[in-house]
Amino acid sequence: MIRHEYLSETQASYRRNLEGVERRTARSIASGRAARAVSRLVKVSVVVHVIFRREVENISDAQVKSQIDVLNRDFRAKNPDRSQAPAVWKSLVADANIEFALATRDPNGKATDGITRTKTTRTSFLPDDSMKTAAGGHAPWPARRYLNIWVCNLGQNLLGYAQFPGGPAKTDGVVILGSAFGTKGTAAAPFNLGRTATHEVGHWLNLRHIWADTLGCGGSDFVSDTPNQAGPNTGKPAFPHLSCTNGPNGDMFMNYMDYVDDVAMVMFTPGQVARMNACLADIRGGLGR
Amino acid sequence: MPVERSALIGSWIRSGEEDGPEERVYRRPDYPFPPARGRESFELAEDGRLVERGPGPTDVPTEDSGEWEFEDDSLRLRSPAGERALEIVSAESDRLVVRA
Repeated sequence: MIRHEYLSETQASYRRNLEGVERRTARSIASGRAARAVSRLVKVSVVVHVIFRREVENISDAQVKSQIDVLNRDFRAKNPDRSQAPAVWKSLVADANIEFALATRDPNGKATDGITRTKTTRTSFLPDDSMKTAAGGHAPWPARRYLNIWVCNLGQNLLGYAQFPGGPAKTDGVVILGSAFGTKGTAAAPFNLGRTATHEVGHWLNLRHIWADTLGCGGSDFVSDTPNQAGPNTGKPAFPHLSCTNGPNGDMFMNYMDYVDDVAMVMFTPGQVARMNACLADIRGGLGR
Repeated sequence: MPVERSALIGSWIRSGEEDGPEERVYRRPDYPFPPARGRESFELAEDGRLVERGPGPTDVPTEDSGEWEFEDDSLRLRSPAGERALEIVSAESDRLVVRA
């Protein structure tokens, strides 16, 4: 379905920023700046804000680390299940050359394990950024230097949500439901392989849904090596799944930016990697430096 | 059995886990849905007003308002999100099935 940007509906400045981000992304890819960025490894400092009411929501360090491990496999194309990519797209399984590590220094320069833990009275959170404030949650660490990940009891049966680059710093980052975070502890099938965070960090690095958020076949995800696709796929689809006259290979439903189960998504493409690195070379240029 | 317009009134949320090869299933909001990356839904008011909801570009649910009509077993939804017609296969009080 075509849907309006949540923030662009509410903030005209954010909409203008997004348009600017797209112009800069296109320039960065055309000039080769994105390609130069992808040629060097970028290490992103991560802080995980665990927001809990019940003790079971206070997930373990091991569960947090299991998620960081997944990000490091998926964004380096080192995930063993990339072999599931159909033969026709194996050559498109791309290494984004991005690594993630829990922060070792907090914003004041003090040693940290990169995890904050905050007790809340809230039974659950709407996807309205309320977990990102000191009232009930935890304020972000500076978005120019850290990827902020909030883990909480997200309501409405949602697994997670993100914010594109170019948005307000005070809400920048991604939010993940505790039972969809990492591969251990409270992580629950079919979302227990850490792919919700892979998908949301993809958005945070400026990737669009592979079906382009349009009703039908008229939209674009601004990436030329992903096939045109009518809508989200869910569950564990069988290859090929056709839409938008995209035969014989059909939808690239095994892409991290579709809506399939964790076990069914295994790859980014070179076009998506170019967009992410355009973002890291420019809008999010302060990270990994 | 012909579908009555009155049977369609209210909210319907996509229950994709129950879809068949040729059918899409919708359930009422009180159905125990498992977590999902996002779900499409629509709310049909008696007076013909429509609210459509679905996952936005960053997975935050967003909504559009429009109108709906029902004619010849076909449910027509019109909103800024676009226009589409759903062919109703069956409409029980707690389960709506449309042709995929």
